[in-house]
Amino acid sequence: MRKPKVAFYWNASCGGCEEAVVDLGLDILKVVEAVDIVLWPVALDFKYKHIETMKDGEIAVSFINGAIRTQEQENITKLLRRKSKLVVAFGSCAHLGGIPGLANFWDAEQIFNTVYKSLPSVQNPEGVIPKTNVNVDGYELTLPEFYDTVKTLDQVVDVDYYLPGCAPPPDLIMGALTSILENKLPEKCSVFAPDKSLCDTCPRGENKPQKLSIKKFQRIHMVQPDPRKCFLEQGIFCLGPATRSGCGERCINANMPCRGCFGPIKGTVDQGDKILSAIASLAEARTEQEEKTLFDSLEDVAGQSYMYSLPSSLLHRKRKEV
Amino acid sequence: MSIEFEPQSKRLLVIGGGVAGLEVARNVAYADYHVYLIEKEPALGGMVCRLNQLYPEGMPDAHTLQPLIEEIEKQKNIEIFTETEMIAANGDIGNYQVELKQKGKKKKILVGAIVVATGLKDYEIEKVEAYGYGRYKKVLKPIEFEEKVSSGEINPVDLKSVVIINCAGSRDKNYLPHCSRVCCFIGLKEAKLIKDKNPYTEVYVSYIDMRSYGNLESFFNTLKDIYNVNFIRGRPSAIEELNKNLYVKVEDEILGDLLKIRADYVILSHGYVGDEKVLSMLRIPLDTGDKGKFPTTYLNSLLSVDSNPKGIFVCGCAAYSKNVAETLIEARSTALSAINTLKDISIRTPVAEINSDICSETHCKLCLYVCPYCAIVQEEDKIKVIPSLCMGCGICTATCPTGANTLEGYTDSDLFHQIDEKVKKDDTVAFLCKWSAYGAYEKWAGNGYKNVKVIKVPCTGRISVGFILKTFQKHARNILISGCYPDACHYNKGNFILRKRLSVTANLIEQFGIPKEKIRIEWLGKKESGRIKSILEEMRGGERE
Repeated sequence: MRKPKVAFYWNASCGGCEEAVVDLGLDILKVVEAVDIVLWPVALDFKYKHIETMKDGEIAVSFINGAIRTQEQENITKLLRRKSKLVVAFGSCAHLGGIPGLANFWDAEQIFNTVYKSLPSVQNPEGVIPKTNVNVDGYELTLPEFYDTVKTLDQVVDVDYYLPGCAPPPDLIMGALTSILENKLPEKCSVFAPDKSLCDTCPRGENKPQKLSIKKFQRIHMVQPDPRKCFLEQGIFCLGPATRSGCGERCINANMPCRGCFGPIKGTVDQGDKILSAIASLAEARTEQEEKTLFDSLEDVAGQSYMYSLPSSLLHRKRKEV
Repeated sequence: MSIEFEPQSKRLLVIGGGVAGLEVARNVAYADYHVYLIEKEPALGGMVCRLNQLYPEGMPDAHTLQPLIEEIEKQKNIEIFTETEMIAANGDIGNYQVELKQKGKKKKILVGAIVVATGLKDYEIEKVEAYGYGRYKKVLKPIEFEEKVSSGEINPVDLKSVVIINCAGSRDKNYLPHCSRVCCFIGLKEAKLIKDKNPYTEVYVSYIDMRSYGNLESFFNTLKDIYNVNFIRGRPSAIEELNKNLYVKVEDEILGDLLKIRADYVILSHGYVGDEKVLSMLRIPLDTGDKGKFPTTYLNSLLSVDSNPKGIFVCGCAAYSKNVAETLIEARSTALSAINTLKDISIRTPVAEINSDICSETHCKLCLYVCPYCAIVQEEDKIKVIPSLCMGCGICTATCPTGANTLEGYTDSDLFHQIDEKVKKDDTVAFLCKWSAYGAYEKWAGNGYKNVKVIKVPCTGRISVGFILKTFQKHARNILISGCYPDACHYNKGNFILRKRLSVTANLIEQFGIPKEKIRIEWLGKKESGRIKSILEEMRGGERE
């Protein structure tokens, strides 16, 4: 019997998701034994043309991590989609947009101006910025287009399943691989993680007060949080209540609040909506002035609410026109 | 979820056989409904039968209470259980299963509605140590003084001087912060009782404010001008005993004099607190903090429809201390509400529901205290909505961070879908509360504007941040959110919660490059159709159709 073909690909991402595959440890040998890897740029040398020559749907499953921010990423992703039976958005960036998605508070021009011109460490007297086409000595050099807006994988191609997390934990990866290899697939578009919020498995849940009231917000780097108490109780913005569980509470155990890498809970779309509607309702403020003071103490509310999910949120990006 | 209550019983349970309970039972029985009347004491009559006289007319209880009891006892529709207490209650409107205990014997009854007329409890005035109640034999509560006068143990003819302390322990943050309303005149009643029997007794009344509303002012004036009662404005600092004489130390705030008054007896006109036991057994939401743990009053609600929990009414002093005349009036209106409820129990109302497949239960609990009706409770390790308490405002639905909480007709997906379908680029979108702004809009809107889209919500408290984001995702021109005036929310606090959400939303959308001025919030009454018209006209701008 022929082994099922599997592809791994990376778009706008940090490489952590690739590490996560390697983090499977000895289990990865079982995977390698069971499948035939046809593309994995970080680890193995295959060419895109190998993929192009394949029949449509020949690849059993493509695991694609990273958000889409360039033309090249979009092209390869569309190619893999055509050639694969299943596409799994692997990790927060592919699933929600992730950290690269925060670029949606700016646009390509602003980013180029900052990165290639105005940063203090930049030496660029001619003000050269990347272009899609440059003619050098009669040769045409090309670069993929850098988009204004970072997109999630499912905003570019049809996605079958999602493996959430920054990066996805090994147990969820193994679970997803097993259910795909054994053909015990959940409903299309499912997320390979539990349906409840992080609070459900949060070790601090036991100590949560009956009545939570928030009087002041503090940034995590300004305080030494009590490792037993709920972060929200301490006025530290925690996305846990509006974030899917399954991560293994790695951040919480390191005394860091949840920043939402697992994305919204089943049935909800926008983490910022859910967390802000909840905590605003619990805010301890009696007058408009008190409300303003309280919420002004919640710095960079959009950045904190959409740290991993800006491109997949309701507004996707900052308005260009005003 | 939406619930329909199946009426199993058209009988009424009245808890408490005082004037309130008796008057309710009498009226409901007249309307041909069967009433169970339970009283924990061996005899009917409650507090009033212990009183010597009532104020302000000084009418003895024989004139009010006795005829009432006689009439009740003759009524065939009323079953009376004395020495009986309620020990458990379950169910919903139309179908309350109540367990009673009469002298150790248990009995179960099924009723459609319940009236709580359990009366009031004295504030534990011994907590005010400086007044020495319990330490000095001659410092008494008004009721004790009256009983001693009635029994002849105290003869006012022997009394030279009596000090009555009004507001004893009341309106004092250290003791009882609220005003019990009746104690001023209970104090004055005792003054009159003494003066009637012995005009030569010096009677001193210390008070902070004389809350002589209605016709009580003339009673106060009569005592002051004709009976020559000495009124001292000031709160006594202490009562001391010297050589078996009591002395009350008080500063007369008007004259600025420090007084030390010798008294044969001191009467402490203390305040009253709610009787929590029965109220909490029936899950009646209580005010906490400085409001004295009385049942929460929903001033803006139609109580007959919106009694909370549905089909349970609180009446008389159980709701808040009041005098006999006021109690009788309230009892009659409660009887009417109870009759209406028994007549037509079929209430169909959307209620919030929590999907336990998604809810993080006790580890989340963020919704637990947002409900104005305390309808969300923790039962062991589950968070539940009690349908008979829920009024369907949707405040909790908008608060739930997981989407586990849904409200029929107003779920997140319903409203997102509405926004998606209705809103086009450059529209003005109005989220209107069904109790106020939507009514105002409906009156005028026959020929609304094409670029004004209206979304009806049960309360502005149902509006979550996401609805605003979704509306801006559709590139709406601006958003109007309009609901009841502050302090006039049908659900008590929905609009305040909304305001907090908008406050954070303003900061959020600014970061998305949407000016916060694009969201406008207006408080509106149901009749202000002219105002909502001009607001929407101003907001939509541009040409008219």
